[in-house]
Amino acid sequence: MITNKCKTIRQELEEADAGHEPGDNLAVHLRGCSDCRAFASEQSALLGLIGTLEPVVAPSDFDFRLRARLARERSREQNGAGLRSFLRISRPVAAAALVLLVAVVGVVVKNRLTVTPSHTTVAPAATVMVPGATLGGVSIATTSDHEVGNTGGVGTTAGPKHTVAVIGSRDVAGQNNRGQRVDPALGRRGPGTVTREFGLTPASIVVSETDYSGPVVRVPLDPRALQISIDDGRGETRTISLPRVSFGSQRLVATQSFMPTVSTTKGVW
Amino acid sequence: MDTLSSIDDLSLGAVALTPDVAVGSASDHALLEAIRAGNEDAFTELVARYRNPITSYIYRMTSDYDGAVDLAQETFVRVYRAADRYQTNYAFSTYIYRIATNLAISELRKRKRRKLVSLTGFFQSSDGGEPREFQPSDGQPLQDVVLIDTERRAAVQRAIGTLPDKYRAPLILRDVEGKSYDEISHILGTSEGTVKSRISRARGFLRDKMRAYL
Repeated sequence: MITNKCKTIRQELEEADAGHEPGDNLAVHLRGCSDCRAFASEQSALLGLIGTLEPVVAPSDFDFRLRARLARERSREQNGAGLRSFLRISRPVAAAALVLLVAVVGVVVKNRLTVTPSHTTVAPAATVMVPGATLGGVSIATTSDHEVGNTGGVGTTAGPKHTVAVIGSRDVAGQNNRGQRVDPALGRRGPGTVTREFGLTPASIVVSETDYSGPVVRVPLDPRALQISIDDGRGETRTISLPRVSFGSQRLVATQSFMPTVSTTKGVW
Repeated sequence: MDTLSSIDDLSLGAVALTPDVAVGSASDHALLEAIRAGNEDAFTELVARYRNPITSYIYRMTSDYDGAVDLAQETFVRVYRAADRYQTNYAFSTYIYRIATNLAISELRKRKRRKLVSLTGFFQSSDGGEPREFQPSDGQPLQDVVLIDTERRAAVQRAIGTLPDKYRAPLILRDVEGKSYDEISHILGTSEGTVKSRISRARGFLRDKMRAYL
């Protein structure tokens, strides 16, 4: 049975140097404890066995190989130093080249994206005889390049002339400027078909050059025109009534008559 | 009163070497100081003092002689390159054994990753236990005492080689190299209590593996 005393004795045996003579206390315990005596015997035999391991000797050319290895290391370090000095010299040159490259790329990109004023053609100075539409606003954003003529619609009074300048608009019928993209599919339909990519360029802005001080004529809306009849294809007709919504302007069409933005779709679908 | 040329003149009684002084009688620290000053003979002397112990130690750790020689040379290369940064807080032997230990353990881990198949692995038991000894097929008992001793030493080396790394290094340093517990704790960077515990466990493993020889 291993007691605490045995543990202490065995720890002392473990930590003792090989060939260490046991003290009196240890010797007395070993004489009376067979387990610890067996442990001490095994311990001694094990250390003796490990002690039979002969030291290994380095080969005779150890120094020579070590010198060669050190020389190789030095050579590698010198090559590395040469590379570092080259990088140190060439670093400012590389930085300058990089700055130059960035500047050139910047200029090219800017030229591609910027619309020069010389390419901007002012749309035909539209003389708008406003047929009562609320034109109190000074600026009108438009995406239409239709020539706006004198409407003279029903119930309207010819208003004062407004000279409208279109800024940033391009001559649609003319050359295709930057920012405009001809849709290949549409281009095949006709030579004059042009689409404009407003994701690239902003919409044209129409600015009124003169303040409008005339009377404001409100256009009456026909409530019947806000009803849409739809044929569902099975012989039934459905009528949809739309609430009146006014955004402050009405659609002007080239027929010189004012028409609300309603059209019947019956028979078309 | 003599003036001190460097702070290292105060440390551990190191004697600064001059080209006239024989390097053979200088301490390890003095040799390191001379190596810093570019004395190649000092490095040669340092290599001569430690090449066999370091090679032997690494061989006991790795059980591969050629690899042990290679790692021993790498140890000296690192000592040479780091001579400027060497601090004389501990004995030089502690320093160089620490480098050797790190290299040996690193090599053992690389081997584990590579899962090298060794020739002796064919004779190991499938459960990863004690390697079986290769016995010639004639079954004749070995009569020659020299052969028996050789085989016993080989069995001890194999048994040590099966120990986990953390037990192997302190056991070799203690029972093969004869280092003190204090020195081992500095070499391994652990406490003295941990070193004693690991050595005790390692001996227990070895006792079980070598019981037939005890």
